[in-house]
Amino acid sequence: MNKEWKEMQHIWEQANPGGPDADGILSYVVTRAEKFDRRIRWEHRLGWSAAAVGLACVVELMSRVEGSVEVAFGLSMAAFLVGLTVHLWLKGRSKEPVDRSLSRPYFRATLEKKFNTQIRLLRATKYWFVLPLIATGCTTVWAYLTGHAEENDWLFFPVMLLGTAFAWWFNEACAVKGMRKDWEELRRALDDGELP
Amino acid sequence: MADTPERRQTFFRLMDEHRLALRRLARAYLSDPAAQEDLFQEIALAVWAGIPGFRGDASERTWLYRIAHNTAAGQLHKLQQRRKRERQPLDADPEPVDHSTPESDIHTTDQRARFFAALRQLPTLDFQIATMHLAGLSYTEIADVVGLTQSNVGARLSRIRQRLTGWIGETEAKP
Repeated sequence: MNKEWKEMQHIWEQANPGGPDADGILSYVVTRAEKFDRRIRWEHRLGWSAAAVGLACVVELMSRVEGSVEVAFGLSMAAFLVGLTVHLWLKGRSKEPVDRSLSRPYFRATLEKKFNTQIRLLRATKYWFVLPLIATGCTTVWAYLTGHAEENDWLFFPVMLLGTAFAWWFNEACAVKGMRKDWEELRRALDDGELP
Repeated sequence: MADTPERRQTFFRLMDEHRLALRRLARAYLSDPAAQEDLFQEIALAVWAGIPGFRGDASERTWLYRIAHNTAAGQLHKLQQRRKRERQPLDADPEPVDHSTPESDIHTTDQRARFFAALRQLPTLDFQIATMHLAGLSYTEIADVVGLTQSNVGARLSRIRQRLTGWIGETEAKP
């Protein structure tokens, strides 16, 4: 390539269509979107693993107990774990990568939909923890009323209450809030061209 | 062909590797930024539609540029027809120059605008050959895309260079 072509090629390569930062912003958003997808996949896997371990514990517990109250408690816990796993699977199975090469409005709308779906899922998940709380409360009361309670059985309910309160707080104050913050940063990058 | 993961994967990889080159190509064809964006999307859609038919007879880059130039030429023809009906010259809108930038940047932007304007004055085939040469395609690849021999491509590039440098020099000389 001779001198004139080299000069022209230099001008050609310096041309950055779509604004000086457009590609940088898009690649930032795409990286964040992919990170978001990975995080969701990882969280779902963690949820399924925890539910599987929980289910194994419940099955093991149920194989040792004989009383109908304990069996009812075990069944309700198993129902909670299976329900939570199925819920996560149904909601998480159709996660596709955001189609980044099509128009920016389409890309933005798809990304926003993904974030909103995930936020709704997180906000709904906390209600699943109410079922084991009710089951624990009923079993404890039943055990004390019928005289089947052992020395430290009263501890189950406060422990479950604390667990539920933690799950509730964690979902609302950390996960949902963090996800809203993430979306706000991406929205600012896409709409206003601002990078954090 | 259905929307398979392999097709998506190929599409994303192609767009990742060639996005900037295709955007430059869209810019070379058209001066209006909105029309450039439309053209880029048209090319992306054409690439998506063309993936199932790609058999690997030509190199991937040759195939991609053939699709891009065919799509761009089609789009350009449509625009020309529309503007003819509306009695507007195709390049009525000049390259935007941001006058808030420092003087050296204005000079660079002016130079770039002159260069792209000169490119657009070339006949379609010469324009396609020039843009592919600027994008770094070999004579063989260019010949493959436009259907000429390598020596013909070389001869045309020599004439294109003379024309472009002449035009750019003329516009630089004007006050």
